[in-house]
Amino acid sequence: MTAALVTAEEPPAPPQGRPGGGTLRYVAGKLGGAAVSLLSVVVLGFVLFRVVYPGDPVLAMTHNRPATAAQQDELRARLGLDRSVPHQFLDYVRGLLHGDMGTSYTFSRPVTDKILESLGPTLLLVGTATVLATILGLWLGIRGAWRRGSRFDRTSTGIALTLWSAPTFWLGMLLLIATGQLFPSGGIRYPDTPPDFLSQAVDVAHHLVLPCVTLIAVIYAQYLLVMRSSLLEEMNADYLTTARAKGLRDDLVRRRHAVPNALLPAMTLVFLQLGLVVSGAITVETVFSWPGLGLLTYEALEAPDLPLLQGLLVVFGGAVIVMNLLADLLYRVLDPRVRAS
Amino acid sequence: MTALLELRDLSVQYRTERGEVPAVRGVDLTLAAGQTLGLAGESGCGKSTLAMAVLRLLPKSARIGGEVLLDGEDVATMSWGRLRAVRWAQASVVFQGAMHALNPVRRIGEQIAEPITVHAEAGHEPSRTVLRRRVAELLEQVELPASRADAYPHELSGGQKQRVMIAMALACEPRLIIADEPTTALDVIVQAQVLDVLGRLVADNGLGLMMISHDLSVLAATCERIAVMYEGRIVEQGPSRELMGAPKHPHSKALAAAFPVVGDPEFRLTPQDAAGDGGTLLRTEGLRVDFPDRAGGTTHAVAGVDLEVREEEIVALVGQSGSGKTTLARTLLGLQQPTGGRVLFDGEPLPAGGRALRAYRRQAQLVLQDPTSALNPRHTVYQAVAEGLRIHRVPGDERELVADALAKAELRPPEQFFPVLPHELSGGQRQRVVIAGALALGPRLLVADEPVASLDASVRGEILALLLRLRAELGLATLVITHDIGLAWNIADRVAVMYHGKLVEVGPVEQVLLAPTHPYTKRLLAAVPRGAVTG
Repeated sequence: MTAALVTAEEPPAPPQGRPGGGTLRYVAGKLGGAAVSLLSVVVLGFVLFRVVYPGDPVLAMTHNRPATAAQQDELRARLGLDRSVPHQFLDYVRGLLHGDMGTSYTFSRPVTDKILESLGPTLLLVGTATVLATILGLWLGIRGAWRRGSRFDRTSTGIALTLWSAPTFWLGMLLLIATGQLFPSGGIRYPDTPPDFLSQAVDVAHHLVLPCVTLIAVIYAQYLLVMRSSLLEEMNADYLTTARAKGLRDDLVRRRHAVPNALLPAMTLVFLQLGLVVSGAITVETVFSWPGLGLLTYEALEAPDLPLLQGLLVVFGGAVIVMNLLADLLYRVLDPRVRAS
Repeated sequence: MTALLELRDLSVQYRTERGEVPAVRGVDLTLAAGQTLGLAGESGCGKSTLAMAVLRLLPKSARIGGEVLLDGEDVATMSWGRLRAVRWAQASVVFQGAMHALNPVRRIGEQIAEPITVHAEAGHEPSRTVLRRRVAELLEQVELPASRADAYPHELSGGQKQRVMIAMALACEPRLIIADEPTTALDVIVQAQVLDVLGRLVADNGLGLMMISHDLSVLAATCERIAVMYEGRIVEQGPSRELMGAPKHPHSKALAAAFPVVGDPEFRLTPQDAAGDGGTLLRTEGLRVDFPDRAGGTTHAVAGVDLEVREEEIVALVGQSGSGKTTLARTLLGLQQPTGGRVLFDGEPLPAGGRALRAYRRQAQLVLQDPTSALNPRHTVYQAVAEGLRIHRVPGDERELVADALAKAELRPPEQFFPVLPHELSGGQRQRVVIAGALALGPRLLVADEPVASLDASVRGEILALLLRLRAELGLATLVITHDIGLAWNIADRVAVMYHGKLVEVGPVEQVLLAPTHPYTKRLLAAVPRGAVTG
């Protein structure tokens, strides 16, 4: 009995079991969850568009052209629309597993090709904008919170909120007018640019400026506000007093102790936003005729082009799911407390 | 010889929206090298502000007057660079490490090593291996294995975190250590170990120590001199033994009374034979509660407990954190289903759910530790007390019942408290509201989980007196759950000592606390600061 009394208090039990076993199980669980979510998106996409557009797509496709009943039937058979709905769904899922999302009604080309074509420009535009907006927003948020209530803080928060509430298309047009002829007003490159890499890259960058700036202006406010408030939460933390008492310079206290903790909530938002990257720029892409997924969605909705819309939904949903998965995994790396639980 | 630390007419004011609020008003203190000084006082008396003023760690809203001389050099006139050099190298702080004084996302080794690197001369930064060795050495001094350097704060227990804080404070070999509530939130046995480590290191290295606490007995155990602070002033100062034995200022007396001497009849507030010879109100038979743990095994939180509470009796359930006492209380209230055994109330087994369980809960009410978080900050006192009445659809005039309950909890006149929100009340008044909420339902048993642990010394006595009067006037039985043995000595008729989910010793207070038979009870009693067990 007395021997047991020597350890007066037990520390929290150290992680038990095989090293890394917990991590593997965690990752497997998250992967499983993501797969279930993705499947739901596929089912939802399939059902949703059949509910939203109940009519016969073949009639919609041929309503401007004279087509005989036989021609219509042939088209139906080619598109697989003559089969029962459950059968169509199975066909669709089978195709998806092989990377085949069907054929676009309006473009008469495989949906997969069409989406991949537009994916690059969107990733370039929204990716660049998100990275820059994140850096800008986090930096301004940190500075604002550290000097809370200062003129800098009030001005930067005010500007960010104003831009956040401005309509994207309006802001884009305003920028277009304000910059005059300095930047091209639409598209991704001029047709007469020499084909070598450098000239192409410069041209694309030139076209990128306006849509990118518009997008940054609209979205950076959320990073600023989240970072600012989560840093403010940490500002009164005792461990910052400890760090100051140790004799650390103010900027070291901020960089080494306050920011790493305050970044954790901000990370979640950044990754949620990254998931929306592919779908997030419909207005900007339309205003600047940027040939990305946003513009493609706009065109698909006009038609309406069911297979294309379905494919886009799967891609958009998939992106959010994958990014959330990454956020969960990264959180585990960044915050030791999550690892323990 | 210049003193290690000298405060001359130190005053601190905080600028707030309501104008300047003084926190420290003209304090003179001297601490020579190698001396130890305790600073005692209730929350809000300015003791922590004073400690933070020494290293100029106060927020910008604070205005400091007078002088703080560290080794003869005025802290207020130091440049930022000089101040940074002085911080930690000359004087370091042991914060309340059990809470959030450690950065949760950095390894403790890094955090201990950080001040060493910061204070190294430019170009002479120690190498990683040197640092690692030094960290290991420091951890060894506080009796932690060197391998813990790679742990994160959440992987350590409260006592271990506090040791890390001490190791960190020693990192730059300062001559003065300021310890701010270093053992609050730790239970007695761990507290005794931490105080032991701190006291030994201070003595071995000839350091000056200024220790701040609300607990006079903790200070008496570690410090040669004690200064009592009240409303920003030092009201009494003297050698520990004298101050503890014969406090002069009324406030010192109140502080001393809050930490009763176990065995001293003066601190025994409950009359002998006050407990009626009533029958058994609550009984447990072989009660067990198991929880699955992370490793896939089972934790026996409550491992076979036979406990009895008679009518009109006050029973103290004593044990360390993790001993299972809170789980036991939850099970008694029907908030947790037992894995085995049963609970009998008035001879009837506890209903498992539904209407019958709700009816039982009217009979047995819970009073929680921290009244601030137990009350909904947006509910008025009236709403807080009336909620239980509404849930149980108690017949009668609601206003009358609420007023009656508040009056029983000695909030008079009750009508004046109806529209008041919790934040407008003092800590003691809040706890009374919580008690009133329980009394409104006319229970026969109160289960009080650390009812005075978060209250100041002067309020503590009032609440204990209230519990005793409730027993005398309403015939309430009370089960008090606590790690504070002094509290058991104050009010309980019987004590049950819980250890590792089992009751190791049960009996009348005088018998268990004055002539303990179980080794664990003995150990618990020995850990009470001063080891002041007489008889």
